[in-house]
Amino acid sequence: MAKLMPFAGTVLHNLLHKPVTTSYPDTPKEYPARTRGHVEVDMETCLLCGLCSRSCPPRAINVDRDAHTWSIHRFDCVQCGYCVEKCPKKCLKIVPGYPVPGHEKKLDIYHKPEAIEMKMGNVTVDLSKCVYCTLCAKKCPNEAITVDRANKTWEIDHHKCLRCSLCVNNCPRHALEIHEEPGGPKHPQADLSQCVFCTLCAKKCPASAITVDRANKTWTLNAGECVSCGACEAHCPKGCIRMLPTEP
Amino acid sequence: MAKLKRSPWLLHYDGSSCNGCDIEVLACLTPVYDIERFGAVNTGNPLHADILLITGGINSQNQAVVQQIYSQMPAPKVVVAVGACACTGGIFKECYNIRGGVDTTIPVDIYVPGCAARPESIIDGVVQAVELFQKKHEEFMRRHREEKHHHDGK
Repeated sequence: MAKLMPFAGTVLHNLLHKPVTTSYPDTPKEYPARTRGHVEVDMETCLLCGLCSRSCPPRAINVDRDAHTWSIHRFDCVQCGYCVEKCPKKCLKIVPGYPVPGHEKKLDIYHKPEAIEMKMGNVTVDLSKCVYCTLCAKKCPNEAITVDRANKTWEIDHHKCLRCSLCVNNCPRHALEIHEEPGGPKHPQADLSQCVFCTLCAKKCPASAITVDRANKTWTLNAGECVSCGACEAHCPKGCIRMLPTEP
Repeated sequence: MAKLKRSPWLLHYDGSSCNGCDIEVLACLTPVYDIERFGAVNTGNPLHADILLITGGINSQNQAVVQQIYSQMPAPKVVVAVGACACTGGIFKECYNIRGGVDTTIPVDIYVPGCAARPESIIDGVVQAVELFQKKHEEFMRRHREEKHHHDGK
């Protein structure tokens, strides 16, 4: 026997429920936090080392070290996130939000605000630990390191070096080191014409490296004890202390 | 002809894509995303189509096919390149048989980025294409009237 009004259930369901169709352009789409939408770059920390552009499968990223620019073809990017993985400074991020369709293929160019400032010092090697495995030379994005296994030589071109610290992180023997500051650690230097010999710097110094004699008006620093923390500079009421790299 | 501009028909052609974008285009035609809301209806015949959605890059084999499809579509027509491969060749652009994006073969009006292009991006692209089609249609009709007037005047 045929069922009476077999479609009634479906009709009622459709009448009482919300439509399955999205109302997309009217209500914007909310993407989950970890969606791979587009790549963002922090030009403050970017070294323009070019590792991202070299790892990019569709060659969407271009790094121009001479013009200080980092550019991305938004319509080429396949949102794989490989550049983010490769970036040694972690200045790339892949964030939700897809590029908008348009009449033209968009090229986004980002300028590095100032000339590439070497915020890190030089890479140095401890040859007693080095086994000349050449891993550092292979990892170097700018071919700054030359290692000769036969003659046991290790050379670095400091002009080519990008201070990305990839070699340091990849050395299996921990023979490489990169200095945090150009020209080694910084130490305080006091401008004695402004100094009132209040001894605040000496009191704040965690290593007791500063000695101030109020009677004889002297300010002395024991550079061997100094830990380069900058507490003296921060607490000087006259602003006469400055942290400067040690003179060679 | 006047009603045509409110209901352009879509033709979907798959170039040498990985099928990711195709699935997203098909998802747009399902009730969940439903681009028919914007008046665009899917068709399989280039002679009936006004908007051409192409996914995937152009290779040496499908170049002639794309050119033929484009020539068979009646004017005015709008071409939408869907996905990174259709825009520029994408990840396949250095393959020996890939000529590049769709714009290497036929003029492209709207580029939709993504790998694969999200259904939302495709909806945005189609909405832009429908607007552009309406503009092109008005222009086409205006020229058509002028020519007719000129012809009748003689």
